[in-house]
Amino acid sequence: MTNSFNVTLAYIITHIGLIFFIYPTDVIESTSQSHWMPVVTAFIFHLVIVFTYLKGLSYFEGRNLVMIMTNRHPLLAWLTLLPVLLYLLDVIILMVRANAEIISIVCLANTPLWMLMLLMLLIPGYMVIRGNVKSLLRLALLISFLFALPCLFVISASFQNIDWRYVLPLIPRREAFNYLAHPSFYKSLFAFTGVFLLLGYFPSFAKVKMKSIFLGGLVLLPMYLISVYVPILTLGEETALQLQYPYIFAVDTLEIDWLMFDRVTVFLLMSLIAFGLLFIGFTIWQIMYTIKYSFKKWNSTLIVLIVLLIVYTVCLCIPDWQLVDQFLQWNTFLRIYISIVTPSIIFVLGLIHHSKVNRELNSI
Amino acid sequence: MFTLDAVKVHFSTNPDFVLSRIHIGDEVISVTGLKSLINFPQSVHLLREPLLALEPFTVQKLVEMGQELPASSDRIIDEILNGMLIAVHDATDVCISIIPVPQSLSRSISNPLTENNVRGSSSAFNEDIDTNLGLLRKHVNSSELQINHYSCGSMTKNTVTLCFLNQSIDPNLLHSITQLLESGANSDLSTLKDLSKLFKFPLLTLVSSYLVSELPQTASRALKDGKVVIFIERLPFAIILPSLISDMFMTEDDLNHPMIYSVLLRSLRVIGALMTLMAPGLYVAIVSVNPDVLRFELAHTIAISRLDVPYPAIIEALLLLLILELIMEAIIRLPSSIGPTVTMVGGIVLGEAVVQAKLVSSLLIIVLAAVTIANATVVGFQNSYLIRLLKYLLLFLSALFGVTGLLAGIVIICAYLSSLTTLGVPYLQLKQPKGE
Repeated sequence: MTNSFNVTLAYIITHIGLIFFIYPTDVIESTSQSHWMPVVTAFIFHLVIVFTYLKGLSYFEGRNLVMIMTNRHPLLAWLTLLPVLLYLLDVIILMVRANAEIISIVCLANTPLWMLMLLMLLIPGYMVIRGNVKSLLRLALLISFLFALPCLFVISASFQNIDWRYVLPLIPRREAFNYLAHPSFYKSLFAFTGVFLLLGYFPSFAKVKMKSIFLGGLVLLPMYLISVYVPILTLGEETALQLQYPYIFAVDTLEIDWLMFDRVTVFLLMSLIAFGLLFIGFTIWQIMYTIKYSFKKWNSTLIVLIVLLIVYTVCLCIPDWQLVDQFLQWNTFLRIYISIVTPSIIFVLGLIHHSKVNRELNSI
Repeated sequence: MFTLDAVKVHFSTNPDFVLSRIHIGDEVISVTGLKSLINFPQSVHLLREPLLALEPFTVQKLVEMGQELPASSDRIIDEILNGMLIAVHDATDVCISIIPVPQSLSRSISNPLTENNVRGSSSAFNEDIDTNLGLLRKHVNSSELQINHYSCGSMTKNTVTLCFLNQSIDPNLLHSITQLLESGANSDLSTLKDLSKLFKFPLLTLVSSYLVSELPQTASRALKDGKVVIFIERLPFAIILPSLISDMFMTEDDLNHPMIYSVLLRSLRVIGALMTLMAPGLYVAIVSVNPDVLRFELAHTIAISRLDVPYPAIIEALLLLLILELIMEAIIRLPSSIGPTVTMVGGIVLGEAVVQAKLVSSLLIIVLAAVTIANATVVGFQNSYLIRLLKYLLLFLSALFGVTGLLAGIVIICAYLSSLTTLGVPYLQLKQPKGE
């Protein structure tokens, strides 16, 4: 059993890999004041679904999502696992496309996108084919050891040019709640729903402690806030709204005299991409595991290769960023479905299972 | 007498075979052995003295001096080849094997040759397996220390010794190792390659699954950490299984320093390894793909130093790296009297001439010199091979993708390291091999 520290670490860094690129754009779009409100609302939503999900799983003691589902009625299993599978596939496509896009913008303007996307897919594919989930968890530890420092350094340095007056007004006015009706808010939820499913795959391989996951969540909350507030405080809300990657741009304005490097953005970007690669690796593994143990027992390498091929083909078919954005919008429904229905099903099944076990124990 | 005749025929062409008879009163005892392995006069003396002193002679007394053997010529030949003295009582055909005074065929305990240590004990393992076991026992004075002997090989026999501490070893790990060693009774086991084959370690691995060490202190620490130590006759080092990533950065020697220094030393080794891996790649990435990462003044300086260099940065780096690798390899082979010449020529070639001829930029020389030095900071020779090789992966990826390629390379290396396991024990952990 891998210990829960690795799991928490993986939970934290995969989230960090998701947060800093598109998430601030969506939040800034969703409201024009008190940006902390959509962030905190979504965060609380995240905590609730994670709690429901983990509570449900804890009734099954050491069995993971797929194991629980394969013993149920096929319709229920299909209703749970198929959307999960589709959603994960969708997440990989978006991640690969977005990462390739941002690398291309920040440091490799001349390299064709297809090459970058191939790189973004082959490395996670290699991780999954060579190892298993335990080696991915070890990898999480190694990667955070190597990249946490530059990442934290740049994040803390990003406060250099801020103007605190932009924080105001902190107290929301009545119309501040309008974000709940704005589609961008639901788009921004992807940064909260991308990883939590992974926790359901761990119980049979590693210890998942709810307490340490919530502690990890506490580390994440400032990250969410920083990713939204640093661009707003540096550039002002109106300017930040115009940018595709506001946080990255805000970091680009940094000037650190004593460093021999001019663009510290690159270090942040590299760390985030490393975390993102790990996230893609985990997601490919989830897909592989789900297919292997619930649908068809193919060779895992074969499944991974097929998944990579599908993702790569879809990625190649996306011509521009508009479509990616639309993609993100379209899968809002799927996102809401897996983040509400899946944890609820697990929770209800867990309760039923728990009471059944209790009844059996009492009858003895 | 019949069995001994067969032995005599078997060894008839061997000039070092000795068969002599000693007389104790009326009894005749035939004594035989190989004088290349046994100090014959002394051994015979040691055998005869007590027998003469204890008149009258009985067969029982003879048997008590050694280990009785069945009267089969094959068994006797085996014992003779193992360097034992064989005594046969002619009248009764009772045959015993006695531990003789051996010829001294091993060097005495000396300083380690490939590993230096600053504060630990300086005695090193040598070719004699019993000396090695003795050294280990001195370091681990414990009733828990268990030592198993295995005799491997069908054509040539070789002794393999497995040592472990009962209390600290993981039973699953021990079980799989003993089973593999027992299954190898018929395969020759005299090199590390044979051992890897026996343990079914992958052939194309970059990281060796075992750690090789000359130092008894390292072996004893490994035992206490729950690893096993294997000795093979005539190999002057201990083979420690399984190896972990900490073997690359930690030595037992560190623990003899104050804690702050040992922590700093270890971090220095980590930095050294990272620098070796990344510096050449970073140079190529920054010069050829991402010059915007650097401060303008610095980028300008580098650009000026490369102004006359006629080829891309990757070729430049590869050329110089090749020369460096050649020098490193040549210095191992050359006798110590010529070694300094090579160093001198290498120094002049690398330091002055290449830059003046405008074949490479002076910055690259600084980078590669730093890399070569940093390469030596990791513990263990085979570990330095690992990072020496992996830096080329980063170099090529950097030439293709710039800083992104460097990152990709690091992630690939991390993924590779984290997927490694030896006999079920993951490579990527610091202390005790506990299994997954």
